[in-house]
Amino acid sequence: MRKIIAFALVLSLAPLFAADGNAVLKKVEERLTGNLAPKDIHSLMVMTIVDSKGNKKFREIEAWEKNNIGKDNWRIMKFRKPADVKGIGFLVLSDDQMYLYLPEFHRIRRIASHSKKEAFMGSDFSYDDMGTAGFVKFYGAELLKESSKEYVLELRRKPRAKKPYSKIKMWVSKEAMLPTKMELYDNSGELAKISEEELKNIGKYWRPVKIKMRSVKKNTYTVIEMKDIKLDEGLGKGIFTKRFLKKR
Amino acid sequence: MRKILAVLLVVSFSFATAEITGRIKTFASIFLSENQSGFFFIHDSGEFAIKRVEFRVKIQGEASKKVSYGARLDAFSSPDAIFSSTNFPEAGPLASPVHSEPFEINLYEGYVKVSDFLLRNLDFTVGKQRISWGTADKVNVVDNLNPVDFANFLTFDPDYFGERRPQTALNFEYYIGSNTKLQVVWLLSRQYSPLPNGFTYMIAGAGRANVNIEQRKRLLKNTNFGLRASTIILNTDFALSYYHGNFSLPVFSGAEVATYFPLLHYSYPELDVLGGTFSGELASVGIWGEIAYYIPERKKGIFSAGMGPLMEFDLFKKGYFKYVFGADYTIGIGSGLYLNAQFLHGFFDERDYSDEAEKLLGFRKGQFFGEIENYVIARAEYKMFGDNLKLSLGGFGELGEKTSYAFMPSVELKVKDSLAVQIGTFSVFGDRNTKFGSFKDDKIGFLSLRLNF
Repeated sequence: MRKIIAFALVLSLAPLFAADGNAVLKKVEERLTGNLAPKDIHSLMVMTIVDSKGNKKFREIEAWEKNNIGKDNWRIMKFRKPADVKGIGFLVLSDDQMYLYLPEFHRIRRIASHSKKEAFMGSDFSYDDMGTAGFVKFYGAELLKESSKEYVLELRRKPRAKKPYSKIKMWVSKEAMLPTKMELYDNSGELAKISEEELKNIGKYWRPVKIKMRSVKKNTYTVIEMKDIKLDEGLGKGIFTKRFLKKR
Repeated sequence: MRKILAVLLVVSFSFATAEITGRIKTFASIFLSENQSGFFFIHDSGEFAIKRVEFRVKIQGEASKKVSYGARLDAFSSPDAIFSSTNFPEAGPLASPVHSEPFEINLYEGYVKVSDFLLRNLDFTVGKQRISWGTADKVNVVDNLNPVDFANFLTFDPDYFGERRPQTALNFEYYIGSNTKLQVVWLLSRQYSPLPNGFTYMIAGAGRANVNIEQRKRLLKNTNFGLRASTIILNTDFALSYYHGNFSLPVFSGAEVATYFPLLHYSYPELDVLGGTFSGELASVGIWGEIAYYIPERKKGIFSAGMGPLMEFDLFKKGYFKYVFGADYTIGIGSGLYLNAQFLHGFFDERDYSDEAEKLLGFRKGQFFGEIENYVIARAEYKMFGDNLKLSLGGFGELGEKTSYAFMPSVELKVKDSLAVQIGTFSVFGDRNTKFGSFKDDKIGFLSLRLNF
């Protein structure tokens, strides 16, 4: 009888835990793309790609991001260095509206969402990782653990959600209410990548200033360092257009 | 004096902020098969040639917040890409008897762009520039503002397949909101596709005929223009366009073979093209399409043979369609296996000729500058080791009563970010009485080196 009661109790508590997980994720989302996130971000990203032998490659990207609360955020990135990718631009207006600018051909090419699986310019980040932010729309969360400093969530992909990761284990800083580490699992349930984020308080916001993405199987990693971060500049809609994508 | 100094200061400052990039490239190919009776090439197996040595420098900058500029200068030598005799030997001392190494310098593009010119949201670009229309990969049927560069076509250098040449133009782009654009382009002259060296000699039957190329005066009425409106509807990019100009490739428009020394007529007739394009996605699959309705001028062709009368006839049908539809998808294997396929109706050089022109001038399907045919073009790409190694398998099929297939596998290795080495082959199989089947015995291997700076 005790066992039945205990089992019933566990079953009745399970939704509470699930609700807690979703509540935490919602708070994270508020700081990523919601009311508590910067309205816009302008930064210089220095990308270091390190192969399994320790060889390094560098990329420099100027990035602008606009937070559209309740809708997809917009992002535009322009490669500044090195010479072989200089001038290439990438515009993300939603999960299924992305454009790539190829300066050699003066051509803007629409990219379909299948390309989100591809590695972003040879890095350990995929196009999806570099695309629109946000988890709540695509994942349900369960609270696995809580300590004085952090929450640990397990995110499970919702049915029909077009996301490359079937499961994400997320460590959330209680102080910043932003992820500090994520384990990203592929469709077969295997650990594919691990991302670690260094957070910094800039003005009234906590922001990731350094992200390290490690591909577990390939034993390679990529580090993105945000430099010269400017928040709430009042970036206009005109920046997130094909017209601006073609500009230098 | 102060004013001059101020101007010099502004000019020197704007150039000080200019960025200079460029590349050095070599492209060499080797015949992997023997051909002693080819129409285009005669060669032994193992004959090789350095097809191109290229130095490219590009300068870009901003003179002010709203004024930017760009220029690209290409210097190149193409030592063996020369036709000679009735065939086109690629290697050998007789290929280019006059020049040991022909060298050219070309201002590929040079333009100034003014944003918010006279009106807010109106961009104006003047100068030699590339204006890209269309959504397909390389085989754009609506893109007629910049002629296809055929000068390197027979080198089979993948960098130059479907390459377009920038043209001197006034280009006005007016943006309405974030998604809609109206564009007016005025080209200050007719457009002509660069052709391989020796082309005139070839069409003259190696000097056995005279060639008359019909030319038009440089008059305002003989300049070209284009209009285009583009927008996004239901998350799909749409555009409508209109082009008024000329065929950029020569049209064989008459033959007088009454005399011992035949006279062959070539021209660049006027052309209007109505176009429509789209690009978007369906269930994560990228889709695109272009459809163009070509309306050639009512050009008369002529023909006379022996003692017969000079016959005049319509060269083209009144109007005809060219179209291309394509799709791409990435399969989630490793870093992603990219697949791309297109169906094309009407290659760059093909037209719909009248029945009389077909009969008298010999136009048919499966020949260069012949009748319209269908093609399937496909490629698969897989990148490894952080994009340092790219494996590609490209190919196309010429579909008709007679068919041929071309395969272009290649491997590209990035030795460093700035240095890439590519090796590959071009091989054709199928019926040799087709456009590309005529290269059946010209199997080629190539090596390309590119250094970006």
